[in-house]
Amino acid sequence: MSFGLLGMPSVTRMVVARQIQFTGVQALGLVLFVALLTAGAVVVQGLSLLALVGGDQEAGPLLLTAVLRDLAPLLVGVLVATRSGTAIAAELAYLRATHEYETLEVMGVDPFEHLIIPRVIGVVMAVSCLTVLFQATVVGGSWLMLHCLRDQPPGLAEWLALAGRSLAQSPGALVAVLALKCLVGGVLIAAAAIEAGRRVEPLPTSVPRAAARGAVRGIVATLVWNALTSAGALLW
Amino acid sequence: MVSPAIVFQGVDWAPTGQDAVLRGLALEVRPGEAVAVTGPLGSGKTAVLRLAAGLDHPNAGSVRVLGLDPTQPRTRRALGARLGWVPRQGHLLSNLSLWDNLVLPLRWHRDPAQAEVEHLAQQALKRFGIRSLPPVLPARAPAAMCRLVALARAFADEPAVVLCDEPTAELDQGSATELWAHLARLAAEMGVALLAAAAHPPPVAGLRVVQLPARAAANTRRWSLTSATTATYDDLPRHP
Repeated sequence: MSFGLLGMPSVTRMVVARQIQFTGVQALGLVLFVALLTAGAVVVQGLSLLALVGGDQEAGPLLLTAVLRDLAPLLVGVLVATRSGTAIAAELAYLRATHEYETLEVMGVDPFEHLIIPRVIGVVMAVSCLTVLFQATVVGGSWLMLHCLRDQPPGLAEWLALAGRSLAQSPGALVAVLALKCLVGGVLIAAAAIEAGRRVEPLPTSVPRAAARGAVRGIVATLVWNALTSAGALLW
Repeated sequence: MVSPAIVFQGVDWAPTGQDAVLRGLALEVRPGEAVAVTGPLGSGKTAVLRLAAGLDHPNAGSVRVLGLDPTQPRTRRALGARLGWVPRQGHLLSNLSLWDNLVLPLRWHRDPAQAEVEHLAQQALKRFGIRSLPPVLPARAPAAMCRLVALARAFADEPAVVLCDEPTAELDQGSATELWAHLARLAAEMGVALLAAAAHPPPVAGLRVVQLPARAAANTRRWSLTSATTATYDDLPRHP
């Protein structure tokens, strides 16, 4: 059977859709909440700490740039690894413990195509979309907070221009780095969870261990990959 | 004469690090034939099915299903398309609804039009007297219904071979006898080689029962221990 999103059996496309719904849509509230908290931190830090060294004019955009470039994919990756990595690892370990994984194999339904690939696609798409939404929420949220905290806040267009100016120094490289962080980061999170779920003894007691292992490995993979990508981008 | 769909030749099998369960098993199941392997606890009934499904490897001898070695990953998909599988545990996928469980192999192996899937699935349900399925996950459905859905799925895609472990486990004796007779009839009508494992298969027309011998020493001791433990209940001191 040739593999492709449109060439998948309809049941497998449904699994992809469910994975996107769980990893992306249902995580939206949590991710946006963390994004707003991050926006708050950007504004507070920008106004207070950096003002001490006389950089309050550039402080906001500077911190915003750091958040948009580095912190957004990192935090989204950690949240997805914690939430979906745990769920994927636990689900696969459960399928092994209850011999449902075997049932798929005997029926000739390839678990790789039916269980693994949809989860990788779902996590990658969810991480990418959530990162963009996280970034948008930080920009919008920080502007709103500035309105609450400053006497003369910048207009939205001005704020967007500030954020865009610092991001647009090398837009091609920025997009490439963000894409690498999201796409490869998503694959790493899914792979860590899947390996943790698949490589267990088929026992009920393996399920919580697999869940914990999947989350921890996903988080570590996210941290390492983001650090490596940022370092690589800096050197490049 | 029709060549057998399932062939066991001199099969030995032992769980890792344990005594042999099967020794020199020879068994053939022909298309249209229903065979129930039975035997005492630990005699290897489930092992026979797992060997036929390719989930376990024989220590000696050979197992062939439709002329293929079921343990080879390359033959698994080809075999899977022609094989119905109803294990004792995990017969339905817990993360799919009853309906999605039923149509999963149909959609996977054929990926036909929705109308054809509906037709084949409804036909499969009808074979087992199910009028409609509630839109629920297996955990929310009665165990007997889950078992029947698994059986319906096994016969849905014109299989050549069906393997079932205790197909009547959740049923009372009367219903179980009826279902065994129905399975034997279906196998004959559809030309399916049916191999089932059961502790107590009833004597029904068209069902050949193969008795497995009791497992050697180690298991006998374990059984004796269970018996002894049970026996002590009667020996407990009772108040007058």
